[in-house]
Amino acid sequence: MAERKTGSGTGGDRPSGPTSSEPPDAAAWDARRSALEAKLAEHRLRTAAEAQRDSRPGTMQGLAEGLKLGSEFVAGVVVGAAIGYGIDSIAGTMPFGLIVFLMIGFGAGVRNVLRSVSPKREPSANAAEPPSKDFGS
Amino acid sequence: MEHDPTDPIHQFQINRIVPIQIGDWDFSFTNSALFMVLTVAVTTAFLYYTTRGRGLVPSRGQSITELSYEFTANMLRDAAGTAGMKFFPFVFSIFMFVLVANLFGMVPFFFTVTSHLIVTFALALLVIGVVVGYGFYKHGLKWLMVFVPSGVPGYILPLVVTIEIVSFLSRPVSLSVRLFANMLAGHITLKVFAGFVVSMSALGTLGIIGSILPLLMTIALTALEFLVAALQAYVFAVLTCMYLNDAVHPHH
Repeated sequence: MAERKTGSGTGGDRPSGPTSSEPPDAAAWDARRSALEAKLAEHRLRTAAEAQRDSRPGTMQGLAEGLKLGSEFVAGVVVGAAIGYGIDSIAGTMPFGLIVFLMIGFGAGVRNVLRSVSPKREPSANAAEPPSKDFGS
Repeated sequence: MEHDPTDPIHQFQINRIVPIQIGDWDFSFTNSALFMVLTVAVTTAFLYYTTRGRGLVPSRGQSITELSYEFTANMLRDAAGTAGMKFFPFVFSIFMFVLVANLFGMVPFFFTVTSHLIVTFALALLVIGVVVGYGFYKHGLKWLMVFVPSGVPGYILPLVVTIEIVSFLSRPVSLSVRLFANMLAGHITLKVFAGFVVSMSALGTLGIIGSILPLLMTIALTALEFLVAALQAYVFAVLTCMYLNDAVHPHH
């Protein structure tokens, strides 16, 4: 909506070229408009990206993120190993539970990391619609 | 036992202030307990007295309180939606407790409550307990669907569910270990560099000149530690919100 309005407005602002030959073909106008729309879209994308980058409080967020990911991965492995060791000492199957659950723990660690780096779901939309979320994200 | 003034571990020692022994258990009021009480008391007093005026144009103290309120409320709403707002008192309490306890740790001669694993683990267990308890209370057994991601083929479902359960169980561990490790490591580093200043300046003129370097490092680390103190409280609260989201909306 907005780009159409701006597009035609900018076209009207530029008087000399097109207005002198006022009723040329609609095709030329369309071409101009679409070119302008493309340019506007690109500009909007860039400003949005810039705004997003600026809104992030740089190092603080990065530091928090790094520490979070590291500990989440390690925690998965450690908990897996602990469960495996517990099962082993109860069932007396010494190395096997540890081996299996260590691997599952690795999986859980990767899952933790994936969960925290995947883009956030919109919580407001989340409440309304039952979202279908695939495994990975 | 006399201690070495540069011993970096000494600051984490628990001392009994009021020894209480009930049966076989030691319920002594320790320095850790004292600082937990102080944390709660200071936080409560601050929040109470700054909001007592209820100025339309907030005073400085009231601004701090309002900002922390807004901050926590936005954090919770972002993570868990409007339905999660009923946990606001819980999240706000945890956030303020961890934040104030961490900042208390930055005051010289104060005890850092959150540098003990058992304290942070108790907090994390509280969070996970609330998540599990509320999940079962609100959704019944259907809450267990939080462990079953949709769109997974049946034949790998057992494996995926096991991984999800282990991943869920690892949350209190990562939550508590992160906070504890950050506080412990930060305070040890700070103390070690400060200890260098002491031991180097005992070596005479050259040592005193040389001790400027660890002194600068200590100053820089102090700033960093303030950052970490606030950051870890924030991370703890954010993750609490994210986990609560699982209790409120269990469907992936």
